[in-house]
Amino acid sequence: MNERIRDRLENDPRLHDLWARGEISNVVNHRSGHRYFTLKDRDSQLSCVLFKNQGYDIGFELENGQNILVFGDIGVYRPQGRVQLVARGIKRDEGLGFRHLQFEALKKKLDLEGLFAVERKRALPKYPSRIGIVTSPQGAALRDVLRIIGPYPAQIILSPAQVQGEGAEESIALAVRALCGRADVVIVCRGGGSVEDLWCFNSEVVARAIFECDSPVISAIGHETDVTIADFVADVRAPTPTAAAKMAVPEMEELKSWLMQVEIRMARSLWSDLERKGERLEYLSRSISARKMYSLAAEARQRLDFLGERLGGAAAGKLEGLMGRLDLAEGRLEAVSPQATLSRGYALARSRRGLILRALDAEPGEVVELILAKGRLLCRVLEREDEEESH
Amino acid sequence: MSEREVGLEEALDDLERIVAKLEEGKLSLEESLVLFEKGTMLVRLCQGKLEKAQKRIESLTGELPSDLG
Repeated sequence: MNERIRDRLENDPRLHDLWARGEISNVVNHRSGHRYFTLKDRDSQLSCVLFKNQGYDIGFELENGQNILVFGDIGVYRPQGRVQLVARGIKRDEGLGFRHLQFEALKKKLDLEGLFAVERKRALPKYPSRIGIVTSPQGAALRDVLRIIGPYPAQIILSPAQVQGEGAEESIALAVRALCGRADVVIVCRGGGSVEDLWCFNSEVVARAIFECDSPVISAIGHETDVTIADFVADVRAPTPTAAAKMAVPEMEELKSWLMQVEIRMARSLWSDLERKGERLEYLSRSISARKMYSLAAEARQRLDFLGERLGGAAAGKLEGLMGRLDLAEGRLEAVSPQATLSRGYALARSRRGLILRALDAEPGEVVELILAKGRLLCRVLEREDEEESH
Repeated sequence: MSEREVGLEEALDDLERIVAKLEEGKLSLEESLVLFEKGTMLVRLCQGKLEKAQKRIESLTGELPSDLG
């Protein structure tokens, strides 16, 4: 059976002269001089053997963790029925190693520049109305994202990008920049793939485009275990495109039930408000019966009148007092002023020698002056009648 | 004030404020009624927005696979 399997595999031209790339593990340097190891990548592993007669000229020692390229043929180790790659040549996979050095250098540079700073990570909007998506229009990632966002009422703006291969870096950077001012949140995503496929997300142009994006960016590149420079720069890193979509929008059922709750809460608070006010009204109306209220009102009215009176009385009294004092003062003044007397019909008589109080103060034939209330008269004395003489 | 469509975010924020104010219970009955009415209107508005299912995907390059259009 094993022989037939071996024949079948070893006669397949597609299993000859092939290159395999991966990381070394389980290195066994056998006493015989043969070397056994396992070549593995993310998804699979393959047993390999480097026979002694071919092993002298590879130029380095095989160590676990090395990235290598193996050239050889698929064979079957008959006693165990084990499929293995029989190596004819091995070389270090400088490409990947060099890229990892590049990755580390870029990461360090951008970190020092502050592109990964926690302080600049922006919070995602709670209810975005415009969601930008940078990804391949053909990819499964886009469909995953749309499936989640689906029922949420936001405008979805797809900014198509080439997410692997030659020119992908510039394409992604351009697509991110194109969303400037057009979205409330941006999802940069790509489905799973090889390290090479995802490598474009480790570029400086993409990092800067994400950094300069005017809205928060959620990155979701590859699987959960893949971490790219883009993930470091993004405001939030999601393990998968589906997870990114869930972060971007609120959960619809939650939102709907919240709205229902809000209606209930508003109605309840209005109701309890009414109830409180109703209770107060009831309490007040119970403690004041109609009759009591009338008597209270009457009492209040009386009190008001009383106060009004007292207030009015006090003012009037004060005024009266003032008026009285004024009258009195006037009376006194009048008493000493001749004007008042004159105004009652009396007149003042005056000669050159002064006031004429007695008939003897004036000579017959003399001109005297009579002062009246208004104006004066010059009169000649015709006759003199002495009072003492008349008595 | 010009009539303009209130966004979902704005409506939900308003709603949150209204509920908080109502629950504080420091308003006069008239004020409460006005807020309650406004809140109820906003709930309807939001519910309407959430129910509204329509195609709303656009592509900046115009490139949109037929299964998404």
